[in-house]
Amino acid sequence: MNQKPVILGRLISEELQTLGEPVMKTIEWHLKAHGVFLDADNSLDVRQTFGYLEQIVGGIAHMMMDEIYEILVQRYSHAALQINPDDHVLSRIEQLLAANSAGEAQ
Amino acid sequence: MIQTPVVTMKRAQRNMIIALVAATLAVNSIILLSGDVESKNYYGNVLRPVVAAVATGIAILVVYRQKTGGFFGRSYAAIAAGLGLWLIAEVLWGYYSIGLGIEVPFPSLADAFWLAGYGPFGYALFMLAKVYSYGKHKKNSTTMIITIISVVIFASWYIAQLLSAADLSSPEGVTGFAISAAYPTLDAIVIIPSLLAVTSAGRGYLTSVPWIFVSWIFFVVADAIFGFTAVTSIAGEVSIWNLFYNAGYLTMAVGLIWHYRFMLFDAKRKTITSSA
Repeated sequence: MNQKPVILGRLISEELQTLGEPVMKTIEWHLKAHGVFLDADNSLDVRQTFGYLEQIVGGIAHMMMDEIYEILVQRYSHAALQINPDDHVLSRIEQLLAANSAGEAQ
Repeated sequence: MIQTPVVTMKRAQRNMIIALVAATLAVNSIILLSGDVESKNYYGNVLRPVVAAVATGIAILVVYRQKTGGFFGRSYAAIAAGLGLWLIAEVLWGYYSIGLGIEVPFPSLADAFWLAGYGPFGYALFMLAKVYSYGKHKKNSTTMIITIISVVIFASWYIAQLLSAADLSSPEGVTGFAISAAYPTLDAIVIIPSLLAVTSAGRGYLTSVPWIFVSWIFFVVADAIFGFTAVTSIAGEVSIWNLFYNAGYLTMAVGLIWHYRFMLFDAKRKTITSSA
């Protein structure tokens, strides 16, 4: 089973929750209109999801991704040590999720 | 079938801008076309509490529907609190000038409510600017430096002018100067997040027009004109700042309508079922 999309979707949902429930539901509605389902168990791509989020709410998408990265760093601190901090945040999130998936698979 | 959201939102933005311009022209035309100076100032003092009440009413609707949970819930509750305090101040000002028919004393009880309003407004604007300008303005960015320097220069000049005209020989004079100086100081603090948010605008079809911040710029322009004319006595007797306060309240109202209509989930909206 691929853990990556489920974790990412849950993290994005948690970030949206901090904005307040009515706003969260609205953003989820717009994401669904773009074909992005946060509760889906497959095919959730971080770059595509970020692209749609940025299209919908601009800077909030950047803030969410930075906060998601910080959460992932705390959870997978061993993998975070190998990540180049100069990489784009999306790339760093992908690397952490990939490292987590590899760890799960082993 | 779902319409392309970008197209739908752009059309909605255009309609909101047209409605705002029309409403501002309509309200301010009543003042500008009302004959002599006395009539202009009378209608200015009547309309300001009216448009403030409209904005406050919409803010209460937003809070009622959104509640106070989460980032936006807290921010918009603060906006509603700020508007409520300013509405009380506007009504008191109107009561002095129209109800009692006297020149509004300075300082008055209205000043207490206006100054109190800066607390919740400041909280909301700094909170909202954090997300509206996120990723656009680093600490050393040119925009931020120019903004802060400009604001500090203007506020310093304004306060220096107030100081030169102030009578500090009595406790009342000191209190009056402190209250006079509090307005440009607080405006200078709160205009910074507004300018940063406006210069970061255009991102996200739900958030591309930073209405609340634009309205705050109108308020600060109005305060600046009010203060500048008070200090220099060059504007004559017409209260032209009323036009900017009205524009500020109406822009705030449009921002609140936008938030209510497009940012808060509507259960009647067409449901998309999970198909992934």
